Amino acid sequence: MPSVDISVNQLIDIFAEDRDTPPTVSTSLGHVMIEIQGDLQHPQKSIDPALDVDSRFIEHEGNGLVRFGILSYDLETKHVTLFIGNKQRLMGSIVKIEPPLGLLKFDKADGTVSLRDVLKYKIIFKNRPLPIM
Amino acid sequence: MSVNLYNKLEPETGYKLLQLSDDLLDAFQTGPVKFKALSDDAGNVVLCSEDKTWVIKQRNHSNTVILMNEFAPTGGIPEDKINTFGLPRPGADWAGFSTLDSELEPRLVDGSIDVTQLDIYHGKDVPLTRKLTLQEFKDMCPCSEKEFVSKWFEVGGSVVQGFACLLSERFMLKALHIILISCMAENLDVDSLSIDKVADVLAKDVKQGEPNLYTHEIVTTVINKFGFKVESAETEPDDVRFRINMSLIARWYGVSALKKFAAKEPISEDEFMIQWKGQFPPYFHCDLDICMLRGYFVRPLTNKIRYMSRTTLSLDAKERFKQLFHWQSTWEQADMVPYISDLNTKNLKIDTFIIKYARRKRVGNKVIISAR
Repeated sequence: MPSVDISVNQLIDIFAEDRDTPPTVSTSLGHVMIEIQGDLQHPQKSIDPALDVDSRFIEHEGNGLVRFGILSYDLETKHVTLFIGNKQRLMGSIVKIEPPLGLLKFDKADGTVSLRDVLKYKIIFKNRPLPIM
Repeated sequence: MSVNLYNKLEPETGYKLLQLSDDLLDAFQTGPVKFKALSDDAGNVVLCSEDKTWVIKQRNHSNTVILMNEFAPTGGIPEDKINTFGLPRPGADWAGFSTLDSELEPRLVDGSIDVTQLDIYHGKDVPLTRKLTLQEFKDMCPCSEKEFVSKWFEVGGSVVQGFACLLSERFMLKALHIILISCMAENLDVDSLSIDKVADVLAKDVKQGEPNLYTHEIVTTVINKFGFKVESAETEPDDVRFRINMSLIARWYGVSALKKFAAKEPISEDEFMIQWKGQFPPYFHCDLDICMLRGYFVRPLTNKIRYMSRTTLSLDAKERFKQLFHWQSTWEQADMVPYISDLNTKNLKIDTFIIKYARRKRVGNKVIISAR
């Protein structure tokens, strides 16, 4: 890749938006950014459906997904709570990203790069996890 | 509002987050922005818009950043299977598709051209060895298109036999000389030169069977380097005209005269001025002043000057001042500044920089520098 244009075809509408959009968690293209201090561990493989009593593993458009938690947010207070599994919860907030972050996708197969979205807000968890009582 | 969170068991690869400063966001909105992978050892990458260049640095961090998107699970999940911890029933589902531990940080820089990648063309029929087309070379340079065009002609870049190269100083001056002679002979207006017209005039003078050394590309380089684009209401937008930069031409001829007549022995200033004037094509008039050549000569004896190239001097400031005072015991500040300004890397006021290494005193309306 000595030189490659970054495609922005998907972002024409995003660029038309006001740069000072009100707080939101997902972009108009449906992307969300969650930042956790430390690691988030979850199963890497699906398990026998008979053993999956909580229906945590699902298939969606050919991809295996694992449900790892529930997130609750309030756009007014910007407070967020994340329940991970059955034992831990994290308290976080919705914050503005300064400067905004462009989501780039590098496609090695055809050597292209595209700017897929512009993220202006993220959900961040700065504190240690608390137990679920 | 509560949401079910999922992660893909096989995350997608190839995603990066790029910090979008206001200028970069503007660049994306107004035109194409491209990544350029440089061929340096560090494997650096730059982003280039039409007129700006950003160096990209990857900043790693120890946080986990999950990129998610909204989706609607096919089939749905029985409500009783999801422990909501007393929260309202989740109204949406997000799936993490990639996890990142770095961001790309852009820093606005001046675009640059790495001329060491190019052959130097002396005007002889010697095949070029590096064989890079102009586009290939452009793609290797950490430089936007507009910055490239202005720097390319400034360094004497041209295209010979279809490949990018640099014109040697001697060949560039020779080409300039021929162009000026042709302009005089054909009565072309040096304040409104057309590259096409000049190239046609030069091509006309080539003898049959001989190669034309002064091709359209060579003329383009020389006129861009020694001229300014002029805008005129009378000409068509595509008909770009140039005004010859007389002081730059005078300086080039002056430096050439210094190398020719004052490189080995000092020469009297009056005699040098005669030799300088004699370098120009007949009937070509431009104003000459020895001050135009500051940074190219020293005065080892009263009223005598000698050529001295900056490239032969030490890169150490203390040593450089010592060398300059070896050649000339006292300097007018204006004569000395071009020889030392590149050492002032901290951007100090030049007076402050000088007094760190030399004595400075005002005599009348001049500032005289001498050794401590």
